[in-house]
Amino acid sequence: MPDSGGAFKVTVYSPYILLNRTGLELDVRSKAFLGATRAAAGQGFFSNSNSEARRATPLMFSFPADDQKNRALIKIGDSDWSKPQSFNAIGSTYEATVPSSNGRSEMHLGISVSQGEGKVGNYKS
Amino acid sequence: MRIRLSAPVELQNLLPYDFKYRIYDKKTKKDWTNFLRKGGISPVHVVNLSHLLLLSVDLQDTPFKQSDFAIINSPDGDYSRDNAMTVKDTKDLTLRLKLHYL
Repeated sequence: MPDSGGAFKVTVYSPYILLNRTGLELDVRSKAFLGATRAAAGQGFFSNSNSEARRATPLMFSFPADDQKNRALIKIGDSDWSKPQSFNAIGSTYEATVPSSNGRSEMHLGISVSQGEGKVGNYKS
Repeated sequence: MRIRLSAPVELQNLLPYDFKYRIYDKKTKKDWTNFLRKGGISPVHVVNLSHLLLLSVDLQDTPFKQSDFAIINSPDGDYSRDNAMTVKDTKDLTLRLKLHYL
C-alpha cells in the first residue's frame, strides 16, 4: 500500500469460479496446451446430500500453470466432453455444444464470462 | 502533518467460501489462527514485517484440506512472495488459489 511504511494487503482469490445454472451435474477438466486433461479439484463430493445443494455451489477452478493456451473441457449430465473451451473472453456470452453420450443428439450450453468482484487483475468468474 | 494508522497486514478473502487462516512467523515460530468470511477483509496486527511470514487457509464447508503454506512477506529478499497457494481436496486433486498484493 502506498505510503504505508511496508504494510500491505494480500487478497486470496480463485482464478475462475464456475457457476452451474443448468440444473444438471457439471464436470470440468483442465487441459494444458500440449498436455493431457486433468480432473479439476472440488468436484463430485456432494452426491449424498440434497442434489439441489450440490448443483448450486460455486466451483473454484484453476489451471496447473498460467498459460494463454489453457483450455477446459466440460460436460453436463451424461453428455460427452465438449471441445476445449477458453475461459478468457471476459464480457462474452456464447454457446458451446456438447454431444450426448448416445451420439445421436447434442446439447447447447450457454456460457457467460464476467469479471469477478473485487479489484484484482485478471480475475474471472 | 497527517498520520495514517493501519494494520501491518490486511487479508482479504475473495473466495466464495469462508476460511480459517493461519499466519506463521518463521523467525519467532509463532502462529495465529483466525476466521475470515467470504468477501471479507481482516486486519492482522500481531505480525512483524521484518520476519518471514507464511499464510495457509482452511476453507470451510468444502472438500478441501488445509492449504500449503505460502510466503506472504520476505523481508530479506531470500525468497520471493508467492503468487499462488495450492490446496488439495480429499481425492488429492489440486486447486491453485492466487494471491494478489497491494
